[in-house]
Amino acid sequence: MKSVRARIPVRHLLTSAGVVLLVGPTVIVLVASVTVGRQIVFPPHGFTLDWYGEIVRDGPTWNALLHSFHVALVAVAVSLVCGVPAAFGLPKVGVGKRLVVILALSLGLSTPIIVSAFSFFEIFAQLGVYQHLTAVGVAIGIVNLPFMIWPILSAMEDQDPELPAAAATLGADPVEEFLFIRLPLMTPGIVTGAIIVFVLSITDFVLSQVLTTSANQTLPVFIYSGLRTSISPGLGAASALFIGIATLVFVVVLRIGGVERFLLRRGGP
Amino acid sequence: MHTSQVAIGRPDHVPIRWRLVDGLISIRRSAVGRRIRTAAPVLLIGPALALVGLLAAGIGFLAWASLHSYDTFLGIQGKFSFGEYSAIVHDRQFQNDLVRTITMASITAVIAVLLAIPFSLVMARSRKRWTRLALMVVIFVPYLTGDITRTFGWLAVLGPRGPLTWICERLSIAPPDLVGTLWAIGLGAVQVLLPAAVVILLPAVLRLDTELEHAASTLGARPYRTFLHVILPQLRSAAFGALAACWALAMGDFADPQILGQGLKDYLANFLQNRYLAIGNPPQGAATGVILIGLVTAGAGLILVLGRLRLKRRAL
Repeated sequence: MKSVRARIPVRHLLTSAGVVLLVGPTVIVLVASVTVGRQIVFPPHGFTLDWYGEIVRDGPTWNALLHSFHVALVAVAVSLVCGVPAAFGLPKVGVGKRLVVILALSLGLSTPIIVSAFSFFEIFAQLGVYQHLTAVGVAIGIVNLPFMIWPILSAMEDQDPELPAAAATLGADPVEEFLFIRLPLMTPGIVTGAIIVFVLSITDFVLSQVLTTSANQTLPVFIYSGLRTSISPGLGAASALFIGIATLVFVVVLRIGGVERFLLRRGGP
Repeated sequence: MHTSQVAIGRPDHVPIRWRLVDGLISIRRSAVGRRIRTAAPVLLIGPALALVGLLAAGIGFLAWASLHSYDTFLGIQGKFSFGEYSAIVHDRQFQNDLVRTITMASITAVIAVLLAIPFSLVMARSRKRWTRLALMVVIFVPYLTGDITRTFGWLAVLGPRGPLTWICERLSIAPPDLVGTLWAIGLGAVQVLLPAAVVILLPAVLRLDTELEHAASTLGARPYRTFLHVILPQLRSAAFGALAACWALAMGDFADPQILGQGLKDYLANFLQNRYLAIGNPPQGAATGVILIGLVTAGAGLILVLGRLRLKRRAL
């Protein structure tokens, strides 16, 4: 038992290092966004929420935020319309074919993101929808499609396989069984997927910086252009906005459930 | 009871929702419904595949463009040739960026996996639920906040008058200027790779047989020996899987060299974009993209095969 206790510090030390690496910079962004002055200085002095007000007051920042919402909502719509049916269809496909289909649907995830960006750049130019915000949203939706499908598939695996039989015994038509039993049970998976796609889309940088112009750039691209000149608290507040969105979403997803079970209990005894 | 009587008497008073359901049921029972059912998988998965087909078409277009000569002055595509490939392979800048990308991707992927093993062990085995939850939230922070917030944070941490400078001044060390160096890129890269490695390792960590560890310590094995000879071998294939994924992700990294490297230490991803947009030679950018896909696929495959090979030799 002594040896087990002696091992703990090394592990915990490395884990703490990992935690600092993962959240350290994010915490600094939050701190920086509420400091007074035009430059980020450590240790921070003063407290102000002015920089957040600046997001709304400053025309270009506000427009960029609206563009980001446009792109993210299109991406969510695309994933819902195409991803949800695909997730429902996958179990109907034979095991061998299913793997091929899953690999095909994950193309956006397995291709280096910059290559995908220029692939869309070319194909949109061919189709004549180049530099259109809706097209950017579609592109982001395609790349993030697996994040819509996975939560639904995992919700399906958690389902009681006897339910369709039970429903049929009670006289439900397959249509009723789908509408009133299977669909409601899938809803947490669908909502989780949609939320994850929304967050990944609204924070997208690589695709947007290739596919948008200075006239319709999204917030991450706007912040990036600003970063090249100065690292100001104003940009920090805009970045902190994403932290706020991510936190909110994470709380919602945790409440709906699934993530904890998906990560920590799956494959366990 | 009342509603159903009304419904029987006057069909138009049946709630719209039930009429819709009845409609769907009659469609399902009809000949059309049977045909829809046989075609169901295609109808359901088809739209998604068509969407992904758009990306596949784009990649195909890149490959096609990379295989034709190109006049950068007139912007006209010429004949079929491997000229673009031989041009960039002999390009000094391409060679430098290629070596830098492969070296950095390998180093950062290994570090990420080495950090992820203790991290996932602590995460999976903590007895306190809040510790597990906190670690879980922490691993999603870099992904959900996005590249910009993440790299902005590093610029603030490493930049002049940031926390790093402050700590160095307290310790009376000359503060290093890390922005624009490989150190900054490496820190940013490990930050995104670590969560991916943890997510891939977790199932294997949860499957670990704790009885074996107890047996080892009962037999007098010291903690580091238990770790090396009991825990690690059980995690080997998952660790190689995590390494392959991290390597592939690191090879395609664009944001970290672009923002933290400030264009001074480019990866292939940045080289691709520069060729495409800044220098105005799309076919060479396209050729870089094709090479990048090839490298990532081959390298990740090789890592997975290496993991298998070692397992087989051990088993014999």
